[in-house]
Amino acid sequence: MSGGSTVAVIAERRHLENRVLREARSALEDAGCEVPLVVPDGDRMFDIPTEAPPWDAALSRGRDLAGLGILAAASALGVVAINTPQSIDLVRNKIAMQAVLLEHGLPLPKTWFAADAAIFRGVPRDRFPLVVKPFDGDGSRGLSLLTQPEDVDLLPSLQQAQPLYLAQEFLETDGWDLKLYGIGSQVWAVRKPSPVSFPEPGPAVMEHKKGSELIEIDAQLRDIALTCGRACGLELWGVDVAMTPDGPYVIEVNDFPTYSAIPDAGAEIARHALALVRIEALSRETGRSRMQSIVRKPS
Amino acid sequence: MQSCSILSAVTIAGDNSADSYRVLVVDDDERLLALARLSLAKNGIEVETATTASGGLETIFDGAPPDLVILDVVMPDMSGWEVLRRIRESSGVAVMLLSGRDSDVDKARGLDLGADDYLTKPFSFLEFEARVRALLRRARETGDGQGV
Repeated sequence: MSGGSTVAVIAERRHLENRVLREARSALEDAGCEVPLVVPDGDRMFDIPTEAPPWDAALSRGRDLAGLGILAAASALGVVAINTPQSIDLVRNKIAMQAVLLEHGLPLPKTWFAADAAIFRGVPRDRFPLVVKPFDGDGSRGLSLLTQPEDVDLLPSLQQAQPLYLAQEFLETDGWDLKLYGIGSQVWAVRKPSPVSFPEPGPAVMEHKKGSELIEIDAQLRDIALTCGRACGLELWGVDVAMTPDGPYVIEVNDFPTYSAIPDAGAEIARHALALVRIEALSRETGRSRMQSIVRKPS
Repeated sequence: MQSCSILSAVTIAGDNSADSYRVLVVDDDERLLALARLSLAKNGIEVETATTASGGLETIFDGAPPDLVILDVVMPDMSGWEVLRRIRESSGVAVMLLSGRDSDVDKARGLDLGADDYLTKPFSFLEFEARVRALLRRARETGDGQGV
């Protein structure tokens, strides 16, 4: 890795002790980089930047709007953003994300969305059971199962000014979740016991279980992982996959996931961040148009 | 028939192989298949065609393996990605993907799934023939396709 670069880490306080983020920061420092930490706490006030911060890149983890604002401003002023604000926005908009993945022919369960969950009564009865989730849900939070149209009455109401719900066909699995993780062009697969169960219609029961296990990734899952990441323009990403008797289905794509069970993920992230910094520096030196064929982002 | 024998006597530029090459073109567009047949035949290449993905897979795995498979990405019965993945489970035959999808993501996807080339539609037949000749030369040099 090349030293002398400045790679800012923008992360919410709750992520600071995250293993992978700590490893990434250490690996960057070991490589001779400056690694300023930006923690967008609720009790801090920030100035809107008028010029690019003195960073070569910014690595961002979290959902905090102030943090995403800092990342977006830095990116707009020429700093390499990992991930880019555009790709983060895309995958956090579950409707846009699914539209992009479907356009690439990826296998997804049929999904509907509506501001009023009562409208899901209108989904044909033979498409039930459905899993309903809030549009801006994080992880597995807020999931409910509808086994028939009448179960709509069991849904908890969203405490939001403008709620939006997604309803997705329920997929039967063996009780394990499959997570695909990507860093640049490297991908891994990890099997985890699912924390979500639906003993009856209505809200899910959540129980976090240990036992993540790195497994061999086959050609089909590798294709799914790479295509999800590239189609969404992500450099660091995760894909939630349901393994069904009909094959794998993509449930969700996330930016900067946990990378649980991935050995040396932090060091890999640091290496990839520095590679992107070098590419950007070289492309600036050489002239963007000449380098476009090498560094062009997925369209 | 006379024209066929004349055509098959033409050799691929830079290739002294006595055997003629066999290429399988899999595409649901019959006009494209007809054009590809004419275009490749004038290069001395024997062409087989399939209008469905499943028909293409049958030809690859049930008969003598071709030297090159030219595969459309968007087909009604199965995507070209899936066909390619199935081919690569057991075969190193040279594969060129042919597609109207021209994004970087699609090209990278095809090549990462094991395609040897990716040509976007519309294409010029000059370029198409040159790419086919290059792939065939390379396939014979490396002995790819023997694993079918």
